[in-house]
Amino acid sequence: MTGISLKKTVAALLMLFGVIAFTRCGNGSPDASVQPFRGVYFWQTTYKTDSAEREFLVENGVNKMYLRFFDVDANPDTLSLDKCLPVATIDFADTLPRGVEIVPTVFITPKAIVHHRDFGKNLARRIYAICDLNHISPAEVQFDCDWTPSTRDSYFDFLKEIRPSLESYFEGIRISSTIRLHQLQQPVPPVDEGVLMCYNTGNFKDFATKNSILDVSDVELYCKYLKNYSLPLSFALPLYSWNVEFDHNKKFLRLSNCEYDFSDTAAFVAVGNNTYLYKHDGEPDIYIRYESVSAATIAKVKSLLRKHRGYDSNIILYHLDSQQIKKYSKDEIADFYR
Amino acid sequence: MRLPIFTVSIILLFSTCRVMACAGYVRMEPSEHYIFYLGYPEDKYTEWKARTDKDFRAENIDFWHKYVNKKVSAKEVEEAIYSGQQPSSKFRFFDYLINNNDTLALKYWNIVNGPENDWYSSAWYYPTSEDMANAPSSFASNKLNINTIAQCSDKDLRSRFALQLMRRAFRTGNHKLCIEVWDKYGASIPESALSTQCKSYYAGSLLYTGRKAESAVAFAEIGYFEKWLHYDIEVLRQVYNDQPNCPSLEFIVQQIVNAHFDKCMARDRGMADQVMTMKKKSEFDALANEVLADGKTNNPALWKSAQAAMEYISGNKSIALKLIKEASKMKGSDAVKENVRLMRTVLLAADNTTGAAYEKALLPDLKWLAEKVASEKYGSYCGESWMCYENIEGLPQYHMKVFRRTVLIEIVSHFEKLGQPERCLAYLNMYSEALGNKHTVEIKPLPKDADPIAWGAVMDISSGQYYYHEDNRTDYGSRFFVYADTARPETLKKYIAFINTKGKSDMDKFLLSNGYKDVDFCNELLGTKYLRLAQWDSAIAYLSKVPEKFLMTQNIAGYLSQHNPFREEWITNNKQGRYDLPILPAELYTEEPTKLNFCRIMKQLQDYTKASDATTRDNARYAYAVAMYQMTQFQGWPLTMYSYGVVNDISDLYYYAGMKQTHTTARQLAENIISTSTDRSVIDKAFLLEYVLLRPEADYIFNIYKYDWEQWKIVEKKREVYYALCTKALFKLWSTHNKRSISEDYVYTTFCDTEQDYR
Repeated sequence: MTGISLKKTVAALLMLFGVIAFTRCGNGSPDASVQPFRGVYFWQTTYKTDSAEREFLVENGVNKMYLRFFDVDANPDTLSLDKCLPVATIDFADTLPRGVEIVPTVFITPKAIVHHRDFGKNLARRIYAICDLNHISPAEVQFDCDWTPSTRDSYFDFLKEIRPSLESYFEGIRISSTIRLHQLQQPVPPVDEGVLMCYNTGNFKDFATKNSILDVSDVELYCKYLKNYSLPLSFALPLYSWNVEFDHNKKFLRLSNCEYDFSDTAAFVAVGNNTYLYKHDGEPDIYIRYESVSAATIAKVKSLLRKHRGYDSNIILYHLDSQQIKKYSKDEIADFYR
Repeated sequence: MRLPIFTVSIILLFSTCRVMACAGYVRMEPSEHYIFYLGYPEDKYTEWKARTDKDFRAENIDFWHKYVNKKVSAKEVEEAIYSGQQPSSKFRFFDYLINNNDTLALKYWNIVNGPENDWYSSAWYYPTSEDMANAPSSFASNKLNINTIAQCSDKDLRSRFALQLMRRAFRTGNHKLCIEVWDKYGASIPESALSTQCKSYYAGSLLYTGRKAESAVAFAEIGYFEKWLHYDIEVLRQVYNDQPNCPSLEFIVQQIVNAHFDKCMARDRGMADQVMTMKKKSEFDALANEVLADGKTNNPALWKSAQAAMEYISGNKSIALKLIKEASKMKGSDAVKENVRLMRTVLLAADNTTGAAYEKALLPDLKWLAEKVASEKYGSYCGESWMCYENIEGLPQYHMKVFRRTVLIEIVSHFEKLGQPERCLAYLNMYSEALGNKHTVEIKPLPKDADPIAWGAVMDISSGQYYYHEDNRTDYGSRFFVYADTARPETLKKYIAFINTKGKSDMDKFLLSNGYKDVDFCNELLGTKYLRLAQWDSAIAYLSKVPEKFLMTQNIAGYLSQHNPFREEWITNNKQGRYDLPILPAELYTEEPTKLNFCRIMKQLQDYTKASDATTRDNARYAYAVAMYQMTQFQGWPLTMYSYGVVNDISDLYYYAGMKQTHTTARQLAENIISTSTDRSVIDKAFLLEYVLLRPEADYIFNIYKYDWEQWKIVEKKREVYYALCTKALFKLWSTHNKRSISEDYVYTTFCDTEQDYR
């Protein structure tokens, strides 16, 4: 008994030691410098949470929320002095959760970023005003932009130039940026840290795409860049699903969130793993590809990323929506954060 | 009171900008002009944009003045509504509203002039807590929503409330509300500035909510269409499917064709971009074919001509011509029919047919277009000024632009391919005339006490009176002039022969009757060409034919006496004076320097270069060499050019004024003096000339690469080396010849003053 207990104790200690040693040293992960946290994105235009969402935050110990404040898009009126406009500004219809760090997040369209010199100062002032009026004291601001080699210089210049403006409002502010998989091949943006977006990995408009939200093979392609990516990275994993609808010629129509009953085989004929031909009276047939990400896929991607990057990277789930959360069990969600 | 020197400098500078067509400034080329333009409703938008704040202010004052039954003066209304202050009895206008208990109007002004309005005056504004704390107590009551509008029984006030709410909804991204307000209230507002503004927000909100086809129509209805916003054939298909005869289709098709044009014209297009544009073209083609096949459209010519435009843009000129001929037989709106004819003119000009058939087919449309352009008197205020081509849209401008494309691109390249540049001249002459080319300058007596040199004045020898002229805007800057001035002498001779006939074909007759036929103008040009080539006999022959009366009207008339090519710029600062070389007989000089006089002197000097007397020969060689160099430089530019200024660049001079050849001659003569002369003072001067001559060569190499940064970096280094070599060469020549020093004056001028003053 004693021997067994001792063995067990020694084994447990060795395991613990091993875990500690592994965690400390990891793979030499550059992300260890970032404070550990559990994050979530809030990406809707009205901040309002229901009980399931509030419960989600508490149960999972979420202590950081990336809150989309507004988007910046090119002004359709090209003769206007404002080349770009803030659009879809968040409306606060609820109080913000206590004990959760709020990270103001701004999405900038590629069309807008080329005009960054026109809006940089306005943008900083606007972030400040939204924070001030809504009692948010941010330690970090995040920018999201799908930059490419042709817009990279504009985006990087923007990031360099916005820093002093933000610092004039928020002392010691950190700036983070989303990083898309394809951007891993590019130079590192001038920010303090990045969030690797492990979703939207495929082209949803393409009928041949299996799953545009997350396809492990798409992520695998870019893993080789992770080890030497010289920016602290957190990983954002998807927690959403949608329908991608195509016409009878397999041409993209729209994205939708309709709750289709695919088990109704009279109306929905399965034509692929997750694709159905929807026949409805008097209307042309449409194809619907239901895209969601299973807990197993998320776990697999998470493990793949950590294998290449290190085990101490923080996890952020995209995004806080009770309709999506309910599709996963509490254990599965807890596992995503571990 | 004019400031002579300064004014003349400015005139010089600007006349240079106009005249030197080949100089390196940006010029709007006809290839950048759209070829598909229906006018409607872009003009409407331009008109809207042209309205000033003052107009809107007047409309607003008028509305509110009437609203209060003119019980308050218009001035008092203005003071109140533009005070930026919320209603109070301090203003008579607001006081009237308060006394009449007009709560809705007061609410309106609380909103419009309230601090809350700042939120919406800039899309970027968001209030801070301090802003909120400073907001007055009435702030909460200003809340504007759709119910506010519902409460309003006054239709006009309701419309104004609707605009305020739509503006706020749009700017805060509440597009659903913006559309709702439009549907309920905005759509019924009669056409006005108010309705246009409301519709612009509505169209924008439709776009942001993905209702692209409706958005395209709404934008088109107010005359605004951002090409890139709807460069999407599916949007066009949707608009057509919804309403096959929607009036906005014309405008949307036009903008799609022009967006495609922009894409095709863009430089540095990647392969992916090219594939994308060709895909768009195919999609458009397919849609147009479907539209034409299903027979629902009342405007088939629109679709067919748009297909033709797409083909032309893609370089398929013969297909485009076939399509436009089909389009011209189809039904179409007036705007489309006119556009079809304009496009047919371009496409006939672009046709590969040769011989008489080409001009026979082209003549009716070209004649029609030339008459249209001439009747619009576009040139009367603009001529061929490049500034007028830029970013101006509208029907008259479009006619002119099509005309430019037809002649300058299509017809000129057609006849150049056939090796008939003199025919190009005939068309260009007609073209420049239609654009209002001017051929005479107004000559005015010089004001008393004015400096003739500073004014570039010309003296009438018989009376001794000085005259000056206002700068001629077009005569020495037109396309016709530029082409004639840079053509070979044989071309100009053939052209002169042509204008002396009555013409054989109908096109000949049309070109002759609509062209400028001044033989003096042509002879002067031809004589100048031979002058540049140093063919003195031919130059003298043609320049002798030009009467002095004509010469006085030239833009260079006043400058000839101010630039003396025989005075070395690097030795003396005296640039003017008669051509009085001591080695030549005095009777050779005229009172005032002219090109003809210069040619005669040069011919005499050329003869003297072979003289048996060494002094005469050496001095003649040197004087000839100096003039050969300086006649294309600042010291003698009026002899070879029709303007000169800071924008001139050496590479242009090489080709434009034949500088390379004249400089080579000058250099050969200088070297000849150095190697054969025994006259020390002439040898010294020849050294300096040799040195000066090496510099433009280096500048030329430098200048041809100056727009290519990578090349420039390489060439710039080479230039430094070249300059060093020039100096080294000078010293080498200096040391090899008698090992004696150049006189101190020359050394000083060469290495100090000239270095700094060198042009």
